[in-house]
Amino acid sequence: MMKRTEFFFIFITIIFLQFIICDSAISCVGRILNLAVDSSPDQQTVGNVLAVFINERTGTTVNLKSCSDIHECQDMVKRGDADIFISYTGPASSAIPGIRQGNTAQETYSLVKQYFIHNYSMIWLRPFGYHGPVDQYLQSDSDQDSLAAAVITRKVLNKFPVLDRVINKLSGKIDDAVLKELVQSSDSGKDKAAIKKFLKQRNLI
Amino acid sequence: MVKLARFFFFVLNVFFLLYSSPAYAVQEINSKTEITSDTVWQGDILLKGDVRINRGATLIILPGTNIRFKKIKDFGPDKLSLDKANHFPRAELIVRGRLIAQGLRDKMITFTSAEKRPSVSDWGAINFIGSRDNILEFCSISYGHTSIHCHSAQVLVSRCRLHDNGVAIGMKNIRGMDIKCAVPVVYNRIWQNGGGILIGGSANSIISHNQITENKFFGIFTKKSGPCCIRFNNIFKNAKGIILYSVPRLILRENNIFDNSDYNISLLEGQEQDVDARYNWWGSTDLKKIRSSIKDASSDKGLGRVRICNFANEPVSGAGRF
Repeated sequence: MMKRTEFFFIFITIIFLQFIICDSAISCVGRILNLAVDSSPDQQTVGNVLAVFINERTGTTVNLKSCSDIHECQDMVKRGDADIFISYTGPASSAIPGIRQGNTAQETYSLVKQYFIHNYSMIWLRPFGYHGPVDQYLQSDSDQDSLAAAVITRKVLNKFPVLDRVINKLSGKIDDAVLKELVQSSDSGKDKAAIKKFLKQRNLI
Repeated sequence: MVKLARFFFFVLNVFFLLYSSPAYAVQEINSKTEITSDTVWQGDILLKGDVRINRGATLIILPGTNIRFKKIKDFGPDKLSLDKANHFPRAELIVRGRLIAQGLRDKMITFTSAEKRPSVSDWGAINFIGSRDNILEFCSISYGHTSIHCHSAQVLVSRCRLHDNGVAIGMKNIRGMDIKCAVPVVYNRIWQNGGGILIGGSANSIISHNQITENKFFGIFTKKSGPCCIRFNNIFKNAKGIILYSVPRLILRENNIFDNSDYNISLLEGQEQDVDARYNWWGSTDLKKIRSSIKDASSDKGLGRVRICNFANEPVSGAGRF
């Protein structure tokens, strides 16, 4: 008669082996990264820049998924329906109850980053350089700084280990003037050749 | 008495031949099917779903055979397996047993789409899983997803023509499987696919004497592969000639790698190891020009360096030659 502990040990071993076998059997279809973006020109443009850049530098296919605003994008990532989204420190900090605004844009970024890691296990990557809307619902630029950055979960980073390194290479490369030019030249991200040209000119791909 | 004995042996021989020879299938139309005993295909074969060669069975395909795959519903009722990790959404020829497809130079075996207007990924793959002693020779393969797909399998791919596929050839090892991937790819012409040859998951391969051209994304992509040997190939007019990601060891020499529109060699993020790429022809003897066609540490400090000293001063003779 098999002892209960022996049965338990064998059961756990089988489960463990199944996990290893299933985990390793990733198809050659390739990994797909889902990026949530809203319909605004800057989200569409930078979303497509990210898609081309990530694909070129990692071989990963990037799928753009639509959401109505950045709060919905964030919810999609929380639910696991998307892997990454582009957010702004302004609306992100205003949606956090009790968080104090930093004295500088960089300080606000640090506070938001810290809050997201502790509360959502999400990591704010380095800011792109341009300023997003201060309030998502007003969709207006004001004299306050609201830094734009890609936000990704720890879980997704474990799955795509070089992703943060790749995306951080765009840090400081897309300021307001560059973004404006990119939105125009790429027709809000639709023209992939213009995006490739932009990345190539800056030696990024 | 002798005559009777001879007659008896004759009957015995006929009986033996009849019952031991494989079944012939001509103009066969299959839905999802399993091949459980040795079988020969010839003529026109239309596959309307997955066909799996089970362990212990061998499928022999005769020269001149034309195998066409219907475009079926993704993971629909004509699929044998819904395991998305190892299978493709559309129809596949799944090889768990053994496949011998040896055409002739003037009588090639064709694997293609059955659609009137064929397009990439109309069908999935010739999907070798945990299988060995397979041969694909003088085959023309088009419009598949990853047309020759090897998971822990051993296949010789020789003198084939692969075009208009998502990826022409893909291979990797699967943890827990006894058989280690070994796929020699020699004397093939691989052109106008999304990607040419994808080597992943510690798979070993010898890529030699192939013509790899006009592939939309890459000619050869090795990611976390085992030791591979890439010699005597012509790799030109692809978007990227060769892409490397996390490849510790590689023999990459005596190839003609030139005129690839993005880069002749591109190291991806994560390829921190240097790459020995001496003795190749890069389409020029101008060092600056050669360097500009290589993405490595010279433009991105986080990457390894591609060593190109002792580059060939003229095209490597004997490379390609399909």
